[in-house]
Amino acid sequence: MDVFLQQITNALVLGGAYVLVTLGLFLIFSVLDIPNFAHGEMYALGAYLQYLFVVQIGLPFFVALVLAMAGTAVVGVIMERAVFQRLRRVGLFPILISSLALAIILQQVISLIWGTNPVTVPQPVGGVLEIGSIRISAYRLIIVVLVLLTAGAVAWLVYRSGFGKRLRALAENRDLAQLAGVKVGLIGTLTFALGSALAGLAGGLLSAAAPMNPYMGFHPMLVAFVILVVVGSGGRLGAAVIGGFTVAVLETLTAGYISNALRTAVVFAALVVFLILRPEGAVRGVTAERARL
Amino acid sequence: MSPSQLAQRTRGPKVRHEGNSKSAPPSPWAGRWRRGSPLWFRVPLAIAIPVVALLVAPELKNSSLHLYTEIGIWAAVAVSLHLVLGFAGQLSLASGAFLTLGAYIGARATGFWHWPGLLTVAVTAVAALVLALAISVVIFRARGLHFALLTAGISLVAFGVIVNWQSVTGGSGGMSTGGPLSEGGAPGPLTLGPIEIDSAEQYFVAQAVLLSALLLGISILMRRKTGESWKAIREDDVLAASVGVNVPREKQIAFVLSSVLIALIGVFHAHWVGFVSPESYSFAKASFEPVAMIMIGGIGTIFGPVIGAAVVVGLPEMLRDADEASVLIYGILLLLVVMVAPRGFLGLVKSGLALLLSLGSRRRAPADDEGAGPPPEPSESGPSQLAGKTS
Amino acid sequence: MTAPTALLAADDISVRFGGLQALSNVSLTVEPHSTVGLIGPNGAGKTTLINVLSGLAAPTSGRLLWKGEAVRKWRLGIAARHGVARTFQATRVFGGLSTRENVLVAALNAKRDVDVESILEIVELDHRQDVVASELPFGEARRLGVALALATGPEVLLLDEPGAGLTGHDLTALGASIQRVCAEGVAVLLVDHNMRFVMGTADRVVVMESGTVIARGTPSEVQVDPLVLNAYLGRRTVGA
Repeated sequence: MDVFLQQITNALVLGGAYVLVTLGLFLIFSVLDIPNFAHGEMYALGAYLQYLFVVQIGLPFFVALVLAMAGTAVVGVIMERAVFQRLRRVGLFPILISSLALAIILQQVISLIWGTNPVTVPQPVGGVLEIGSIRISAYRLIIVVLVLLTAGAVAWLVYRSGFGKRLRALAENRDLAQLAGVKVGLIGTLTFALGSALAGLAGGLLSAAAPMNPYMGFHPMLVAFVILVVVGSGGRLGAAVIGGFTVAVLETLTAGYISNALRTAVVFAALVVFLILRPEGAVRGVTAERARL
Repeated sequence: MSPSQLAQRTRGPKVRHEGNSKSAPPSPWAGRWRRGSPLWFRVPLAIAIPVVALLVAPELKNSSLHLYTEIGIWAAVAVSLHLVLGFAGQLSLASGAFLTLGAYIGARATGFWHWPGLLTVAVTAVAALVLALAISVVIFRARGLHFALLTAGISLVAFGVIVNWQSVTGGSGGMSTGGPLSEGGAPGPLTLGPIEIDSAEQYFVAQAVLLSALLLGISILMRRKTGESWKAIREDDVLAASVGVNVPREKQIAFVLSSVLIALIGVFHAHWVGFVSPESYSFAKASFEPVAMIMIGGIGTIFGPVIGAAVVVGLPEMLRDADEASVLIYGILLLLVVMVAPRGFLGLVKSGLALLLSLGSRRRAPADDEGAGPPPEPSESGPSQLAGKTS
Repeated sequence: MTAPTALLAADDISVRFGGLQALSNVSLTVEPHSTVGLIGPNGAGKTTLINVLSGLAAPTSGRLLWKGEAVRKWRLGIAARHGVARTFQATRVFGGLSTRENVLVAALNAKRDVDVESILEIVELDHRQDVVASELPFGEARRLGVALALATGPEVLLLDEPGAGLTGHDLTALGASIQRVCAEGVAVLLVDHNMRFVMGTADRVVVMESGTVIARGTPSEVQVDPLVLNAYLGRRTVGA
């Protein structure tokens, strides 16, 4: 049992990363209808920017974290304005391909600048805590706390603030929102920035928890998409949070009890099975247009 | 009224059909350029290319042979994948799974079980057929993003299986077509009946034969009812269904055919390299790159993917020292294509030609221009078979 | 009890999407050599009914009958191959193909021999055969949509607001084409907001409101039906 609890504890940090990345993707997809395959690169970028600011420049950890978030937000905005806004009207296919292209580009830029060897960022806080029979490093605990606080802040922002109201209006019906006076372009861009920043935050936090490499964004991005599909883009944010932790636990337990190499395959096998059973994904509300051809 | 008469008419008062109609007449060449070169041009071409390859092979350096063979193999993958992407119109990222299937069956069959090549090919074809049929029953109920994710998931699961099933696949270390590494086998040749393909030159010629045959086969297929249905589905699958096209079945046919072809190419690739490992068929390399090739070369055309393959595979070669930047460059290229030239390289060429020719006809180009233009772009075929069908 | 001559019949069809009841117990028949006009205010369920009849939407309850027999599996493609053709409210054509190629594709799976030339003539696009469909102006594209439906050699033709956006001569010509097609034995179901157009073209009219049928009869009967007048009171759309 102790081992089991320890496994769960280990999964919390991973879960935290998944939660933030998924929240970011959720916001972007629900509001803008953009399946952004480059979202994972925001995670990687966040980690590398953290490395840049802390290790290469020498700033304090949490200052660097804020800068890393800002950095990813800026890159996100550039992507949104330069690419996605233009392709909105063209169709889904170009958006899918262009986001894949952006992912490749970002990945390559990162590996060209920082190389492909794994690097880490030193933890800002040392020490290990013992709660009952479970051991958790202080820093990892901080990560989990920060993730929960952030998720709470995002929830407050989306469900309780004026910005959130506009955001939800945009998500529900873009044209109506526009008619009602919502500045859809601006809100869309801000949402994209926020979503990217969340992924960047995850990357920045995890940079001190595990070694990073330029390809690190791929897996969290796919996990986020799995959760998005299963929960449905109209779902409440809470489901994304639960989803993130669930997948992390699933992966960690698979790695621990079955085989480390199977952890990814299990998640995707689950996605495949889910989509086979429910090809429209998790549908909410009125009707899914299942084209019956 | 013939198009050329119509063209002449516009020099006078504009012909009005609707209050808001466009007054410019269609270029007399417009339809012709879309249809591409006729079959009597393509058949000899398909024969000529392997012959040329045969003649040229001894003159080429090993590095050139290697490059051209690699381009040819990936071109074949892209052309096959295009059946799904370009015609069924869905973003399939499943090519990695089938390449892997073929490659590993090929490696295992030749290296461990010592099967004759024809048996390996037959078994691979059947395995791919069964797998593709099973998958196709379910995947087409999903569309758009879900379809892309589902097919991506299939490729990733295949990758996971390969890495984990160490006893059969050699895990991340991979295995050689020459048998267990412990026995020190050199890569085994690909024996197809009386033909043994072993040297770089032989692979080069074989690849030329295969690619030409594939392109010719698809050219023929596109002129038949299946091909016409596919083009309609690509334009608008709901509309196609409403006019009686059996959309689910046609998509399934495209997917199964594409997957079987890709698996067979996997067999070839494995033997050519002599070694298979999960990294050679990673998601990026085996599932995403073929998509990039199709987009860059020109989606919706038969030869577009070939051009795309030449660009993507050839880029590192052309860049020499800067070849780490090659992936970045083709990523940027892909992005530019999607945003600026969605029909890819061939699309640009065709639009440019059509524009030039329509300008020429409007100005009533002098006689020596007629027929002296550039040779017709080999591209998607038109409904030539249909012309005779309906009264 | 459906009339023995009815080609396509909706028998007590209801459609529910999530919380929205789009159709409630709707029954309707389409018979050869006749044109049925389907009218009603916005949201009446007319397009939903066409979607059910053409196989694009599935009824939550009730059944569809083809030539008197209940159909088990009814999809867009299956319906088309049986002989049920339709147009779409938002014009759909194969943009990358020429006008002629569009019609040829539609004729690929036709139940009977189709004369592509004469179809192009009926919709007055015979002089525009080589124009790429995406370059056709609105009115011509709309006519091409009708041509596509005709090219499948249908026995039943479902027209979803074919006249939308057309005026004057074009509209009259469309009405004449519909009557021609009908005279050749095709059963036509016509949905449109243009009252004058529908009343002038249809033999029978069915009036819907909020997902149910509120009146049936000849155009003159329906025009004086108090329920119909009530449904349209204040919202009458005068023929364009």
